[in-house]
Amino acid sequence: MRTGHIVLFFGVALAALGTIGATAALADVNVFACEPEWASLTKELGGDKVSVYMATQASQDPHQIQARPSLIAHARAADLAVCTGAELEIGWLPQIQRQATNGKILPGAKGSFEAARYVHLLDVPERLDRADGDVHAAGNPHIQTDPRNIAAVAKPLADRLAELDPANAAYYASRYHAFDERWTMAMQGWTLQAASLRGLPIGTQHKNWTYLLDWLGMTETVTLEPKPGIPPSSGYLAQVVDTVRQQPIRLVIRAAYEDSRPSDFLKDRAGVPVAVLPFTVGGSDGAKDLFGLFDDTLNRLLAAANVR
Amino acid sequence: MTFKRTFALAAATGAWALMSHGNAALAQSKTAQSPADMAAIRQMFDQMKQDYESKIRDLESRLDKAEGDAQAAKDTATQTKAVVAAGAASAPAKAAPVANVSSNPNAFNPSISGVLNGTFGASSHDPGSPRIAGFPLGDETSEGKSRGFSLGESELNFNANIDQALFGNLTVSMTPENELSLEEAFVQTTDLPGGFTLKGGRFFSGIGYLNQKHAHDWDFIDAPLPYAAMLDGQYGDDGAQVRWLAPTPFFLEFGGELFRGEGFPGSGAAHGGVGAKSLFVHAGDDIDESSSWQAGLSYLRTNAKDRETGDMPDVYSGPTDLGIASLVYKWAPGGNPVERNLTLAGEFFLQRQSGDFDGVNTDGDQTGWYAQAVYQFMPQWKVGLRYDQVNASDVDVALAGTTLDDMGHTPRRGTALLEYDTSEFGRIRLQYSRDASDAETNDLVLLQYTVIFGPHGAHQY
Repeated sequence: MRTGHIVLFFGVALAALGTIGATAALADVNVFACEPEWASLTKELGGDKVSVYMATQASQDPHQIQARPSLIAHARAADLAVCTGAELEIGWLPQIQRQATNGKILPGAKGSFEAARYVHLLDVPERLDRADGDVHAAGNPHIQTDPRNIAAVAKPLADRLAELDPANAAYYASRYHAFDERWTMAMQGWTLQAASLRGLPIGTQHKNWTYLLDWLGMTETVTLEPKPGIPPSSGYLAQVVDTVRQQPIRLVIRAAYEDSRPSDFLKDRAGVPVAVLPFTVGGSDGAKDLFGLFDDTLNRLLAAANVR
Repeated sequence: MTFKRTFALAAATGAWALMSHGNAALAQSKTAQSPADMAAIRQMFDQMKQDYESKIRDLESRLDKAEGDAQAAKDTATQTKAVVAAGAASAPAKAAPVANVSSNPNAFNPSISGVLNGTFGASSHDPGSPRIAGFPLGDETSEGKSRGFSLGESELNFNANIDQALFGNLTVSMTPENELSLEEAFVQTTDLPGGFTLKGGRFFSGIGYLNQKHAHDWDFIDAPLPYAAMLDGQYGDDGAQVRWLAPTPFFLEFGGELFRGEGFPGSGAAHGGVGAKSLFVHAGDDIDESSSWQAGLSYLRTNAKDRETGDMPDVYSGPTDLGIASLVYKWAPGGNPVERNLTLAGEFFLQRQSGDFDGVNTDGDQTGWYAQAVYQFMPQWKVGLRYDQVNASDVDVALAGTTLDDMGHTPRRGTALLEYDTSEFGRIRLQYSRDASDAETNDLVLLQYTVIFGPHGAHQY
């Protein structure tokens, strides 16, 4: 009898702890967003029915995140993980999933949402060899730099929220329609605004702007990394300076989280203006949300290219 | 009659449903009485299946062609997909994933990675068989280290989800003497409810901070002295583990393990059943966006039964209680470790042994600690400093002059490290130690390469 009481006591204690954990977040869906752009999109679509934990910030390189204890604790409580996928988070997310003991967000589960699955990926490598640097087998994962991709992800994400939280399905649907309408309008504005950028030859610091360039029709003629993910040596940068002197480029792009030295070197030696772009939500003062992200990106590009 | 009904049913269900739910359709047509009817129906299904398969193949090849063409890609692909979607007649309102489906059976292969390393060593004295004054050493630590070139252990790791509930991991290591050893071979649950994880097999214990990391993930080339002296490098054994991750807003994890008890400092307990047990708790959180911490308290109890150590074997029987307190702090500006980052780690060991050493009763406490700092000052470059020390217990007269007698010498060591990473998969380290683990101080220089090939490993904190 006594052992029965002890078991009962522990059962109740565990259940109480579980309840504390469950009620810690009052929202209907707890979301673990791997990147700021998906945190922002989830908030747009989920409103006050979702509580979003942003696992990384704009100041971080999403390839290289340490599997910190805080990430594990938040992943444990999540109902839905919204990530880019396409191997972007391969260096840290699997470790967090393994330690978080949360079956809801394991790959393949309803609570695991990979944005890259709903987008046509570019830069799919023709051969896979680590000698080519940090290549992604599935294609370039930096899809958030093209607003058309955000639009493509919004619908399935809203659907997924509705699937996880059917009671609020109508709410998510109406927020999606409102967002889609505003987004379509905004995209028309951006496209008009960016017309003068079309065809401009530019340089990038890392190959993470493919989708932006595809959208705006700019041509990437040089990359400041000898191979993706491999920092440039000064010898390599000197070569780039020579190339740029022969085939001028209008500007060079780098993300806010990246080292400023390679692009500054090009600016000093070859007089190429540098556009420091937010890359994701929170990457600049102007990029407070997804709308601000593209407003600010275009303003910075136009200012650097001096084609206003 | 039945034929018509079945046909109508098939037509209504639609081609896609037929293909994917062929069995269900067959089951529904059980009204077909005669075997002849059934055969006819099956034939018809096969025919239709083939037709649709060839159509789908046709569509897939068109899709591939379309995707190959850079400019026309998007429009054509969308069109083709629309055709596929329409043909599928599943007509879900939801946006379908763009990902293409491959049916390669090899796609289910586990991820395989290999670790190679090699060392060049130079020292002021021949390191021979290392000694740590006052401590009997396990096989791994007392293995003779040679000067000059030597190959480290080469590792092969296989891991994969076994099914929806289990994850498996196998690490085989090959010594330079061509001996195979099974470092880890375990099965772990992936989706138990309530934050629990069970693990069984051979694995490194979750005690301490460094213990469960593979040697090639350590920041320095060798294990700190307390790990070397008290755990023979690291504690791994055959057993079972349960972990519970508390539903707290910060990281809080409890764990317990039962082991066979064969690993140093235990031994010979295999016959007695459960020879070792451990309990540990780890906690951690962010301090601000740039810094984070993790702390741990661990307890390991092993039981040795006629444990033999050394060339002229010392025999120990009795329990060993070990407590470890660990603290790790990591810093990276803005949380971005790519440019610069700092890791501080320190652990304190307290060990109590009361048993029978070479026929003499012994009872004493040993302590040890290390503190280390590793700083990445620019991409690909790191420097590190470490200090480690262990203190043996005082021995009584009967044990004077034995391995347990440190002869008044406190084993200690200072180490400096310079590391260059070719990428996250390759690394070259130059390490200098002023090693006073034994009475004679040794200046030791090691140059080591470590490479990992295979998939990206996701690293633990």
